[in-house]
Amino acid sequence: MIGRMSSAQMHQGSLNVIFDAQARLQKTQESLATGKKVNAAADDPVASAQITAVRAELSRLEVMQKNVNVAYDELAMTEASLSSAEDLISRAREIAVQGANSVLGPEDRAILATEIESIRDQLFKLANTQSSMGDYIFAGHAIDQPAFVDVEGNFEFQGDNGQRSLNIAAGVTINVRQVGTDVFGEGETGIFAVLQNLAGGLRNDDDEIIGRSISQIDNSQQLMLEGIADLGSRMGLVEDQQLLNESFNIQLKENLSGLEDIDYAKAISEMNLQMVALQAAQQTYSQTRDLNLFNYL
Amino acid sequence: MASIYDVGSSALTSMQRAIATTGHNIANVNTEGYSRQEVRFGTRNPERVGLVEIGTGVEVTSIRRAHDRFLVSDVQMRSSSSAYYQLHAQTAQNIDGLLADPSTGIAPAIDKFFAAMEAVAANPNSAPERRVMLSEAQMLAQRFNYVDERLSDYAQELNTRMSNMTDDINALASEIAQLNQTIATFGGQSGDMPNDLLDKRDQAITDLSRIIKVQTTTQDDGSINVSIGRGQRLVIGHNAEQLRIDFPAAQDGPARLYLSVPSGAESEVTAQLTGGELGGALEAGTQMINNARRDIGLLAAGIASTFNAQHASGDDLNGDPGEAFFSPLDITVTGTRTNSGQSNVTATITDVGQLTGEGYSIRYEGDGIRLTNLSTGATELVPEGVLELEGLRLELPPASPEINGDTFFIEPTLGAAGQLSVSLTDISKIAAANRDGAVGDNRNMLSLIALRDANVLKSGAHSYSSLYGSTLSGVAVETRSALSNAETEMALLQSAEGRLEGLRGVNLDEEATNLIRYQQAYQAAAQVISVANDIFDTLLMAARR
Repeated sequence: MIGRMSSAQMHQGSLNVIFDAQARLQKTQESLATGKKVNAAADDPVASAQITAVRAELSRLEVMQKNVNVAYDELAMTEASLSSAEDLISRAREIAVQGANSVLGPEDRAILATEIESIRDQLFKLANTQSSMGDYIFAGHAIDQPAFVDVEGNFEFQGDNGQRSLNIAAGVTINVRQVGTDVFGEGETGIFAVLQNLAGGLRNDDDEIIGRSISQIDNSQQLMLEGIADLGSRMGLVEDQQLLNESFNIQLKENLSGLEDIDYAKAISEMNLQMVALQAAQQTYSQTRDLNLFNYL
Repeated sequence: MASIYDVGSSALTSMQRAIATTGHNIANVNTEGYSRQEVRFGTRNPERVGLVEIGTGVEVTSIRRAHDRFLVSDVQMRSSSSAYYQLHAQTAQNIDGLLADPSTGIAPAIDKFFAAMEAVAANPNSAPERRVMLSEAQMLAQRFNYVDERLSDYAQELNTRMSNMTDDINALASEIAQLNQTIATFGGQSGDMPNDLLDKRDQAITDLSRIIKVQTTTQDDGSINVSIGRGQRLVIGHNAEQLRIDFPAAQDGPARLYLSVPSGAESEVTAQLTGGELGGALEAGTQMINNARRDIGLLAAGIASTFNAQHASGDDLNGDPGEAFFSPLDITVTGTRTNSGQSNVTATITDVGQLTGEGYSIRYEGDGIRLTNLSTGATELVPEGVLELEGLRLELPPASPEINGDTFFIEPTLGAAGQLSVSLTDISKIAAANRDGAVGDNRNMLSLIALRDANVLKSGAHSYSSLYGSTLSGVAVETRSALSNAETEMALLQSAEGRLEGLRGVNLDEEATNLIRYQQAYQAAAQVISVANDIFDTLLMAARR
């Protein structure tokens, strides 16, 4: 209504202007103090629902990065064991080639046989490598018992074909284990039986057995190298995933920042404007409150 | 012949009244609902002297209040809608704050539970990881319990407020009826209006509109009839009806409202009441709280059931099949207190994955068995016997006169979040392995982890995370729109109040001007009397000579 205003209205109107200015200033101050523009869900319900979703995604990604590290360490440990094993197999092949030389006498061959037996024992130890948690890492799922056992000179696998898969990203899993028989072989063609035979051949001066052992060792070495290559490629996948996760992490943090962080320059200039507005409202009130005809009666 | 004295004193009396009215206005400058009063003057009946008529002075013909019934009813209407949205926004903010708060929300607890499961998957036979997983599961259950308890508290608080609102409605209705009676004794004649009582009645009706939407009709004798909701009479003349509220099922359960009628009986008006705080509480507030409870209850029931099923398909560290990880949740059927108790509706969940997260009521009516979807309001008559709903089987006893009027509430998920608990206590009984898997087998744990993103709920439409996300964003969107509605309605109310206040409020400057005007008139009239006195004295002196 133009032209008429009640006294209570004028009073309340000036007060309302001051209250509004104070409320706006307080909001900006809170934002500046916390650095966040969404300080309570009510500030922006929809943004805060999105913030919750992004935070959930971030905390999940953190778990995935932890799994990436676990996966990489597991694979690296397995790879280290298998590299040592491959070195030993190479050495065994050298000895076999040396032993095949007919110039050697029985005593020399006996020494070589002892060395082969020592290599076999070292390989046996490697095949029963335990993780820091005490897992027998080549035993498949049967991690609580050695992967291979010595049954009266026969080295038998007592694990299973189980894999250990870990989630390293949404929908991406990686097997971090290697089943013992896939790299050490099994039965007559397994590296342990082959070396056992070779030692026997050396002790008995059996050229035929020694000769056959060389090609069997070649097969075992091939198996081992394939296993190592497979591990290498899985480590590569894990590394790639780590980079992907990191860049996803950065992207999510940017989203989160866009949703909840304030623009300081903007907020500070807003605060200055709001302070001016509040001051103006207060001055207006103090200057007009005494304007009243009764003062002149 | 009217004496000059008479003329002068009529002016003195009238000006005194005018000054008194101005004083009354000044005194009520801060009185809520007060309308400034204005004095109307009129000439007194002239006196015929010979051929001419001579004026006899002034009189106060009426004291009117500045009033516009359209502005008043606009304020009343806006009060109703503003209070409605205010309550809706308040409730929505409470719920949103509870669900979105990182420290109380369920989302972070789900994150932690699944992170703990990842750790078990990485070391399936290691005790510390299993222990952490179990304690995170308990934390998750407690978080569900907490959120449901808070929501139930909100519902109870709202019910208490509704009881208070009902009391206020009854008190205001009596006040209006009483004022009607008093005002009617003035006979509704113009010029003789009980202005202050009219103001009081307007204010009472405005206060009432804040609680419930009203319609008013003015009668010939000046009394105002008030009806609420969809034409339910609350005040007729000097009679006020009584509104009664009842919570027949539970303290945090649905409300029923009854209005007495002149015959002395009462009739249910729950579905008819709209607008105002009470309407907001009945429609928006309660509905929103209950839907939130149903949604998180569906998530709790869904997790308990699907997690348990997957857990059972695996083997624990002892090589035994997985036992129940979470305690299985029961479905409750609540009958109202007034039920006959002659027969009962039974309900069983047939498939949690098919549940919609809606609640139902069954009411035995004269014309059959009425099924109402409490979430959507959809209602239909259904046959007796077995009734299959989404993921739910009801068994309905046949209708009979004995159980006529019986009502049952079937809430498959409302409150389920409050019941969620972890029943597994032995960490070796966490079934991380597939059936017959060795101790290093983590495949079942991976399957359990995969449940988080598997669309196993709401008929394949939602996973654990997406259901919570959609509940949260649904609440957020509703909160935002409630807040913006509340803001808009508040602005509309303020502008209507501004218009009304501008018309009827007291302006001290104006009153000061009037005061001077009437004072001057009074002084002038006193002069008239003084002159009359002089004339009389002159006459006496002349006669003495």
